[in-house]
Amino acid sequence: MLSRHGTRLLFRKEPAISQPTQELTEVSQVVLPFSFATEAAVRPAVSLYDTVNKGTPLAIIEDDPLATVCSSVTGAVSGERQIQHPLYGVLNCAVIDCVPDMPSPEVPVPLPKALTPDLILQTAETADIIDELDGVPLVLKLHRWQETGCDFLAADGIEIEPYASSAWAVLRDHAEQVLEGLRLAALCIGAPRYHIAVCLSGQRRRSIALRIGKDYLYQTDSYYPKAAPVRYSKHGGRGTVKYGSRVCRIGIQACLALYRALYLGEAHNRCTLTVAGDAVPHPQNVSVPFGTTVQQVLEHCGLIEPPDYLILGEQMTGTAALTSDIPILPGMTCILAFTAAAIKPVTPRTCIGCGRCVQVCHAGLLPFEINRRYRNMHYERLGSLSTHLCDGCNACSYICPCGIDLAAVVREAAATDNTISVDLEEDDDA
Amino acid sequence: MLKAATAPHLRAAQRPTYQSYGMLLCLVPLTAFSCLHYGIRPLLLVLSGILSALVTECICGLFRHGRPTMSDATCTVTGGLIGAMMSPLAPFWVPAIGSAFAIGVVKMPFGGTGRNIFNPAAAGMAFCAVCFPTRLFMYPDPTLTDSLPLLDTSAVITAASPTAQLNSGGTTSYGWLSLLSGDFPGPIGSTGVLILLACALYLFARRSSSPLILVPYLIVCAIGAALFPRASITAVTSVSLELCTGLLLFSGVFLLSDPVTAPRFWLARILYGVIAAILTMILRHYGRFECGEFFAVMLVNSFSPLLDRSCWHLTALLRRKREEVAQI
Amino acid sequence: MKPSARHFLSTLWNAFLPNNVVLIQALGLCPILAVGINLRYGVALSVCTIVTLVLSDLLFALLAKRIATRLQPLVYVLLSSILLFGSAVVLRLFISAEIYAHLYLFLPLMVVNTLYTYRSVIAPTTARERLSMTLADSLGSAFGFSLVLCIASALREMAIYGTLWDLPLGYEARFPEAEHPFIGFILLGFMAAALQWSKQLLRRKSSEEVGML
Repeated sequence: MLSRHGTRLLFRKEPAISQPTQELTEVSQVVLPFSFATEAAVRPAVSLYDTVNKGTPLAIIEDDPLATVCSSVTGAVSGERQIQHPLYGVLNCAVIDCVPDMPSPEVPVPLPKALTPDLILQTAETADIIDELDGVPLVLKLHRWQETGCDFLAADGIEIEPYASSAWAVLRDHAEQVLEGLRLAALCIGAPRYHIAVCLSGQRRRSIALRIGKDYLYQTDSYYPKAAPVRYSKHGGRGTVKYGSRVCRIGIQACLALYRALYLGEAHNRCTLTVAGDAVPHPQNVSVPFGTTVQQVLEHCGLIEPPDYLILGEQMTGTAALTSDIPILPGMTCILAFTAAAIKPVTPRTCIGCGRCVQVCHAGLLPFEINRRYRNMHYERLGSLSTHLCDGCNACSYICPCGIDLAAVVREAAATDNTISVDLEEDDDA
Repeated sequence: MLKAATAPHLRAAQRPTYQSYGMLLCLVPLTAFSCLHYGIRPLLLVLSGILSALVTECICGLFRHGRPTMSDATCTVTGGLIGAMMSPLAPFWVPAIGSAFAIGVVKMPFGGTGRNIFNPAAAGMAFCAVCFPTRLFMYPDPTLTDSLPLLDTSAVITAASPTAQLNSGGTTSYGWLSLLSGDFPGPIGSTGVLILLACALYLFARRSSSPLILVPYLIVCAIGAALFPRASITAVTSVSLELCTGLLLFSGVFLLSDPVTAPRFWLARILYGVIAAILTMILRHYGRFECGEFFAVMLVNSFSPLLDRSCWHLTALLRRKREEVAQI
Repeated sequence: MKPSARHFLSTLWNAFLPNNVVLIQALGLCPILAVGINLRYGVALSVCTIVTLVLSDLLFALLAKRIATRLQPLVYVLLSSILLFGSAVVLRLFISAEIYAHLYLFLPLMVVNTLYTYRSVIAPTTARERLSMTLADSLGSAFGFSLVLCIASALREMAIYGTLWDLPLGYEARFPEAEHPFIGFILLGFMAAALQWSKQLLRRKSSEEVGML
C-alpha cells in the first residue's frame, strides 16, 4: 500500500492496566431503566417498595421481549426517575436500594448433554447478554450471523484508544472462560475459525498466549482506527483470512457472559469498565452491576469532587456527560474524568492543506474538501464526496494541525443529504 | 460543574507553524553553505527577503484587521525562500520587492495563509525573473571570490552557471564532483546539493512534506534529462547536470511540497510531481530564462485542486468496481 | 423626479459602477491590458467605444422589432462593426494616425464586447421605454468601461514613463515592467476587489440602517 490510513495514538493505559480488577460489591443503590425500547408499550412489572431479586424483570414488554431489563441486584424499589442519559436518551428508570447479597457459592449448573446452537441462543436470550461493543443483545447478533453465515468470529479486545483496558482486565482474569465462550458462540453460528484479537505489549500478550494457546490470540496493528481484528491475505493461508470473507466481531465481556450463562447459570448483570483520566486519583478497572451510577464508581476510585469533564466512552469517540448521576448500562466500557487542563478548547484556524486528514481517513474520504465545500456552502457538490461513508472515528479532527473539527463538519455535511438549497440572490449580479 | 465538550477529546500536539519552522530550519544550513563561499552577502539577501515579507504581512494585516498582524510563520518562509533563490550578486532590493509582491499580491489578497492559489515564493520569484532578469541570473564564480562586496558588485567576476551553459547549447565545464560539492555558480540555496537532499530527508522524517511529490518529480526529470539532453553529452552527465543545477532540486524540496498549494490525495500528489517535472523540463528546453522552475511550479499549482478531485473520484470508482466484482 | 427618470438614472448608475463591465462582468479585458499603458490611447479608445456603443444600441433598439429573433445578434454585431469601422476611419483621418496605429488591433475586439448590452436592448417591450433604457444602459456601460480604462492607463503611464497625457510629472522613479500584461491583470484585480469591497460596505451600511429602523 502506498498510504497507510490511520494514526498512532499514545497509549495511556497505565496505571489502570496494572491494577487488579476491583469488584464493586457494596453498591447502595442502582438505577435501572425499565426498558431500552423507546416505542414498545412498557408495562412496569414492579411497583414502589417491591422487593426484587437478581434477575427479576423490571417490566413486561409485549412486542419486544428482548428489550426487557432484569434487575442486577437484590433490593427494594424505592422510586422512579426519568433520566436523560447521554448515550441512550431519555430513560424511565426504577431506583433500587440494594441489600447485601448472601455470598452464594458458585454452583455449576448441570450441563445438558449436547450444546446445540439453539440451546446457546436460548441461553443468550434468557441470560439477557448484551454485547458491550455496540450495546446490541447478543442473541440478536448471533441470530443474524446464523442467517448470513460467518467465516471467522473474532472476539474484539483491541482497545486501540488511549485509556480503555477493560477487555484486557477481563482477559487477564478469565482468559480461558472467554475463549470457551467464544468457542460456544462460534459453534452457535457455525463459524469454522475464531480467535481473540488484542493490541497489547509483548509481556502481557505472551502471558495470555501461554494460557490459551498462541493460535487463539491475534495481535492487531496499532493504527487508530483501522485495527482489523483479523489479518487478511489473498489466499487465506495459515493465520490469515481471505479477502471478502465475512468476519464477525463479538465483545470479550459478551463471551465471558455467555460462558457464565451456560456453565454457571448466571444472568449478565455486571460489566467491567475502566475508570481513568487525569482527575481520577486511583485509575483502575472495576466490575460493577448494571445500574450503578457513575458517581458511585468515581467515588470508589477516589474522586470526590466532580471533575471538569466527564466522558462516557473513550477519548476519541466518547460523549461528554453533564452530570455524574447516570447509571452504567450495557455498552459502556470506559469512564474518563479530566481536569480542565487536560482538555483545552482549540480555536480553529484556516486549513493549510497539509493533507493529514486524507492520510488518516480509513473510509477514504477527502475531509478537507468536504470542509471547504461545506463552509463555502456548495451543498449541491457535497453529494459526490461520499460523506455517508464516515463512521465517526474522529481521526481527522484529532490529526488536524489547525484544530478544525473536521469530523463534525463531515457529519453535518452528511446530514444535509444534498437537500439544502441556498438562495444566492443576495449578490445582485444575477 | 461538569463542562460540555465534543469528541475527540484528544488532539495531536501539532500546530500549523510546525511545517514553517521545519522549512526555516532547512534554510539555515543552505544559507550557511553559501556564506562559506561568498561571505555575509547571501545571509543578508535572505534576511532582506524575510524582513520585507514580514513588513508586507503587517501592512496587509493593517488593511484587513485594522491593526498590524502576523498570522503565522509562513510569510517568513516565503521571504526566506525568495531570498534563497536569488543570485548572491543580486541587489538587496530585489528579494525585498519579490517578497512584497509574493505577500501583498499573491498571498494576502486571496485571504492569507491556506487560501492562496499559487505558491507565493514561486510567484514572487517569477515576478523578479520577468521584471529584473539581468539582476537575477548573474552568478559570481565560486572559485575566484573570497567574499563579495556588500554594495558595489560591479567588479565581481561572474561565471556562467551550468544551466546557462546548457541553455546556450554548449558543453559544460563542471564535473560531477564539483556538482556534488557545490563548487559551481548558482542561486544561494541551490548549490548545496547534498544539503538539499538532507533537508528533503529531514522534511520527510518530520512529515512536513511528502516523498510522493518529490520522488516522482525527480524520477521524471531524470528520465527527461536522459532522453533529451540539451547538449552533446552522455545521458548520465545530462541527468546529473540537470538534477543538480539551477533551481530544480530546490523547487522540488521547498516549492512543490508547500502544503497549501500541493494536492492532498496520494495519487494526485504523484501526478502533481510528474506534471511539474514535465513542465520543468519543457521550460528548460524552450524557456526564456535559464531557471524556469518557479513558472512550472505556478502552472502546476493551478492544477492541484483538479488533480485532487479527479484522482479521488477515479480511485473511488475503481474501488466500487472492485467491490462489485468481489460481491459477485 | 418622475419615476421614469429615476428608473433611467438607476439603470445608468447600475451599469456604470455596481455592475461594471470590466470589473464585475470581466468583459473587454484585452484592450485594457494591451492598450491601457498611456492615457491618450485610453481616452481615444474610450471615445470610440462610447460613440459606437451608444449609437449601435440606439439604432438596434429602433430596428429590433422588425428583425427575426434568430438574426438579432448577427445584425447587432454587423451594425456595431460598421459603426466601429466608421469611427476608426474618423480617428485615423481626422484625429491622429499614430493613436490609430496603436489601437487598430483592438477596435474590432470592441465589437464583440458590445454584445453584452444586447440583453438590455431587447428586454423592454414598449418602443419608448426601450429607447430610454437602451440609452441608459449603453451610456452607463460605455462610461464604466471608459472609467476603468482611463484609470488603468493613467496609472500605468505614470509608472512606466513618469508622465500623464505625455506631460512629465517630474519624478525619477520608473517601473517599465508595468507594460507587461500581467501587471494590467493584477491592477484590474485590485480595482475589482476595491469595487466589491465598497459595494459590501454600502450594503452593510444599508442593512444597518434597515436594522435601526
